[in-house]
Amino acid sequence: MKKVLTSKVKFVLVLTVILTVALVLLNSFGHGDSFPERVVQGIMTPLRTGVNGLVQQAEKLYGYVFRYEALEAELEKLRAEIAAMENDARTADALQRENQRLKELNGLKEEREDFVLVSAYIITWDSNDWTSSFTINKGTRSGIEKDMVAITAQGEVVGLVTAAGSNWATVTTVLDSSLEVSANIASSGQSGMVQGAYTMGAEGMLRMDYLPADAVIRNGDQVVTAGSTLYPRDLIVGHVANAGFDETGVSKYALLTPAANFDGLEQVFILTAYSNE
Amino acid sequence: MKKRTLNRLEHGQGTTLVGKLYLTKAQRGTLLKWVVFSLTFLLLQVIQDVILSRLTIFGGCADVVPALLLLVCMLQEPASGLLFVLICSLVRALSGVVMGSVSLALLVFLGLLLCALRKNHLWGEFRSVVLCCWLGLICHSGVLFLLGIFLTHTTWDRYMTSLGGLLGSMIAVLIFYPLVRAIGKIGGSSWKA
Repeated sequence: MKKVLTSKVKFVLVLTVILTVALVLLNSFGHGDSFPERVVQGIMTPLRTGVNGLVQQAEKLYGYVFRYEALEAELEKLRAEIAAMENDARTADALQRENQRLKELNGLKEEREDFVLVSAYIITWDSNDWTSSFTINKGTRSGIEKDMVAITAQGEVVGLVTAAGSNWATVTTVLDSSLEVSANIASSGQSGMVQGAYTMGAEGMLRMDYLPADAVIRNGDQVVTAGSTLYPRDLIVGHVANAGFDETGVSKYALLTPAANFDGLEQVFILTAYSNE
Repeated sequence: MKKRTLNRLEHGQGTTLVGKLYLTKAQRGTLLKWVVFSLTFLLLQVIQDVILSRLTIFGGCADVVPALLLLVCMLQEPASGLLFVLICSLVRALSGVVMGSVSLALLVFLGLLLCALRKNHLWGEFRSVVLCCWLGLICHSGVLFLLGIFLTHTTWDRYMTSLGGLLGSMIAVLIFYPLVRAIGKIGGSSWKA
């Protein structure tokens, strides 16, 4: 021990005692912000910041290299969850709209207790320019037959079933020029024949022909079905948008805006039975 | 002016900052060695603060800087080694290490005792150095833990965290041994007991 305890070592030991006492006093009275502590912290802080920055870069690289597959799997899982949530949101929207339609249909049923209705969803639209028809997801198995009327929940005429399979049916809309509906102007009782006005240059409109020359026709007049073997009475066909004399000059015609909104149509109701009394 | 100094000036030597000190080759080697030791300590202290403080063993954080300091003390001449330990412990204490003042006193006195132990009673360089360092770390960690209990900074049932930290420090001795030995050879061979 004596060989180790040289004068230099003794000097270091004395210095140790002095510095220990000084540090204890500094800690007791300095509260961590003494000049020597500030100097040392001032030197150490940029070094710590630099190393911290390098560590963060290394962690990013590590995450990219080794956790890439885990991150990818997590991304796929989150995408699937988002898709499921979006689907739920869409379903909720659709259910809300259906609920609204059914509420309106309930009102219609109260007005026309003789109506027997089967609801169906539109699954495809005809992509032709000069015909207007769509396919629904129900057919003969649900009691739907050819020549049955398709309406909306508000009782607006959509068209006629022109073909039916076991679980599908084709509905030709009133916009199609091939379909004719006998109708009356609700306010005046004037009767005429309504068909699609596509071939007459008014796409998306209906034309009511064979109106008397002295018929008083006002814009906005409601046009309803007259009642026939195919169509029950008083179903709304459209509203008068314009009127005038036809090509012969003997009778008048009226251009109608269809009552049913074909752009937003998702669900229709097929009249499987009704009374025309 | 001495002829030798004049000769050096005529040949353009002694014009750098270190050169103006007119150190011998051995002295320059020694200076370089202690500069490298100091930079190693500084780097390790920063790594300890930023990285190693986030890693735990049995809930305890390993403090590897005392391992380095004790190794330097064991592998260098006692006076120089102890002075190095004193200065580095002072920097540690001022940088905010908990109970830094106690750690400073402990490391210097333990360093001295372990140097004497190694010189008088142990043989073989690697085994003796590692054993002494481990003993020093156990004492250092034990005293700090007991002081922590006395000052109510910790409780007896937290002994496992202390042991976990100690285990990390002891592993650090084995890792740093070749590094300290290599640095110690700068400027000449390392001190042998």
